[in-house]
Amino acid sequence: MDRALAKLLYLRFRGGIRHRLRQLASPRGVIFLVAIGAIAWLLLRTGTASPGDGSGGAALQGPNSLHKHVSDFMPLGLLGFTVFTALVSKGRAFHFSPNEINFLFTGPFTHRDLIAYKFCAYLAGALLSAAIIVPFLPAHAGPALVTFTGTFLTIVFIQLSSAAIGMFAQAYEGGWMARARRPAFVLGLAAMAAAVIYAQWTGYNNALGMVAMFRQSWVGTILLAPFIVFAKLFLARDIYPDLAVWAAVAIVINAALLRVIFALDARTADRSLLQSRRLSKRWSRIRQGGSLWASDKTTGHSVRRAPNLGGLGPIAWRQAINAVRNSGRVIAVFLAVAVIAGPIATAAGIQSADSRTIAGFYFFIAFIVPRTLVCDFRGDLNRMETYKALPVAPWRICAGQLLVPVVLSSAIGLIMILSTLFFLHGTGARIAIALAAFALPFNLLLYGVENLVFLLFPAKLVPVGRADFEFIGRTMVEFAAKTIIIFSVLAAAVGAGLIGLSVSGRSWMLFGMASWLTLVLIGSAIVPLMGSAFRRFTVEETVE
Amino acid sequence: MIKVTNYSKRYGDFAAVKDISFEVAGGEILGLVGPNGAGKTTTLRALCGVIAPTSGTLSIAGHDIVKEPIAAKRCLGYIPDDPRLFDTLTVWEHLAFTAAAYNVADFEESAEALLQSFDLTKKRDTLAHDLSRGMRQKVAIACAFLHEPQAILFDEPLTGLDPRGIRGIQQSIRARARAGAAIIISSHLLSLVETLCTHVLVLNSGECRRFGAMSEVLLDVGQTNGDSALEAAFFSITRDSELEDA
Repeated sequence: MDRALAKLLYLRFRGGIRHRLRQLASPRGVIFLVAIGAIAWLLLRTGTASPGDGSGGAALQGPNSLHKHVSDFMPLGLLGFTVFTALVSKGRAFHFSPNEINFLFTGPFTHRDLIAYKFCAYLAGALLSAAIIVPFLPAHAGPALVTFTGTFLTIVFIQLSSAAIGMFAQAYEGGWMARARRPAFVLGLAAMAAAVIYAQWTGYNNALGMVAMFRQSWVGTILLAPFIVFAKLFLARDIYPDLAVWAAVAIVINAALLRVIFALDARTADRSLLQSRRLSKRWSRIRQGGSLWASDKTTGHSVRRAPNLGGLGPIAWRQAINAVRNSGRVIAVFLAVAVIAGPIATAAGIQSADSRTIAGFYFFIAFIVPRTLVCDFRGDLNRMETYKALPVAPWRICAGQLLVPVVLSSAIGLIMILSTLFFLHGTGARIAIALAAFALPFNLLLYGVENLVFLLFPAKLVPVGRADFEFIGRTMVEFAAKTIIIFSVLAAAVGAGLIGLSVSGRSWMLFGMASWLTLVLIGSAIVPLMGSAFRRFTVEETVE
Repeated sequence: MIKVTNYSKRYGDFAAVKDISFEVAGGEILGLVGPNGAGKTTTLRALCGVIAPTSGTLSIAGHDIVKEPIAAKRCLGYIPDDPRLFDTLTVWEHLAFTAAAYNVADFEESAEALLQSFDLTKKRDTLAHDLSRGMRQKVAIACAFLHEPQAILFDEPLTGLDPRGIRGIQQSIRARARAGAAIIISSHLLSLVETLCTHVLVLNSGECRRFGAMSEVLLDVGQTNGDSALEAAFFSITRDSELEDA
């Protein structure tokens, strides 16, 4: 690699460290670091306490079980990722930011130098990611050096294979292989669905058991050979010969992928530049509050009219369009997850009453969905001036902002409940119906709190690079605070229900109604609070 | 139509605008000029209800922007210096959104006319994120004009526009004024203010240094014509005030 590029890497690394240290030097940085430390400590404690307590999934119940799961499913997971990348990739290779394109593409460097520079940057990122991930792996996963090496080389493999596949797709665009991608994808999905249905229908074995059998068969071993290497890395019992041998093989595979990338580079340079520009544009939109899944389309079929509904209509209408165009794919994924939640949980042998299942469900609904499905104030930080100038009462603007995410999130929750009701043993119909009735007010409360916190303490939705401590800390603190608020409100609703129960004797219907009504009242009360926060919200105070 | 009385805005200890008063009647175009940090954008943002004044009253068509914000905003069109459009909406959908928000019934005909006058007809189904800076500016102006506001506020209206766009915007500003709208234009382009505005207000360090009809202000510094008359007046007024401050 060119010496100037090596120097640039060093300077950028030093700049990154300086930026993080500055973040940590502020009182806010210290608070967030303490929060990260406390939550990480809790997670680590939970992680080390979980094996063998009988409550967890099979994967966490002991070293032998864990090793079997890694051996069976990790190669398949990597194959699945590779196939998925090959099918959907539009040519994501190495991404160069606009400043890199301006400075480096016009500089006295070969494109090969630039790829080497980018690869070194990815290596540094992979090292950091591995260092962050390894402490959270179960204690019985293996020696730290083994898990670190395994994680690091696997991350590098994933990045290189994605880049190689993307460049391959670019180089042979329009060929028969490119044309066969969609039919192959549909066929693959159909085969998987047929296998799952067969397994369920015959009762011969559960779906995961079938997958494990395929992996252990000779066909599976041949097909998955490059991926098995990375599973073997994780399963190494000693540093020599196990780790040394498998790490050497993994390095050879990664080096071969890098060689392929260099070979394909000459054929894809122009497209790569175009892709980098497209990706930079997308990132810039994400930083302004868009979605990672945002559409790249430049035109859309216009809707002729927006409803007024006392001023609430145009805001909700605009967010509905935003959800369809910006988060259409993410909504589809969430709906698919909701539909398959029941069958997957059944296949994995998970019980609905398991505390981990409930915690997982809460984390999905209260963290993953709201963080990904951003079609409310949180995505409109740069457009607050527009909202403020509208002749619409603040509470109506707030209600309009909440309508779409609440309805969408409730739909996802309801489908998940239905899926669980049909497939999971131990889920009573009455409990499912009760949960379904609470979905709407719960989501009103959830998104109300989410937006209220945002209006009071507005912040960016995406981190600035890896290890953005301020962002991570803030996210953790916010989630903890929201959880406390939500659980307090739920406790109040249950309290009101208990009062209803004691007044009525033993009417569970009255208990449910009193709880539901309390939840609706508190959830609705957040809207005027949001209105007040919106009124006080100070749009960027540029003094000119 | 637009009336500002003893308006002040403070950010903590810093006074961004200090006790300014002025009026703009229907048909008048007021040029708001001043160096960076003079308080121009702060004044426009307070007038359209984006920020609250610390003291004083600001009214649009007789409605106090603090006490009757909805009524005041209905009579107002505001074009910020860097219009932030909704990335996922098309040009037409921005107009449809504005029509719904301002309760404009049967807006289609006016919307089509606006698209045509701003050369946006071919871009009607283009998503905002794919528009150039100048196009975004035109969309923001078209949206602001759609509900026929009685008062229009422009913050640097010509930034990013091509010569054809500049001429088009100037013509439409004049046309709106002729139709009876009160217009305020904040700009650093003194030649634009000089050719377009009937009145001028010079702000410096948050204070009103000079307010009056364009001809009076130019007469004060002894120049009534020539390409750089307002420029000479501007430097004369702001230099005098800096000397006073010193």
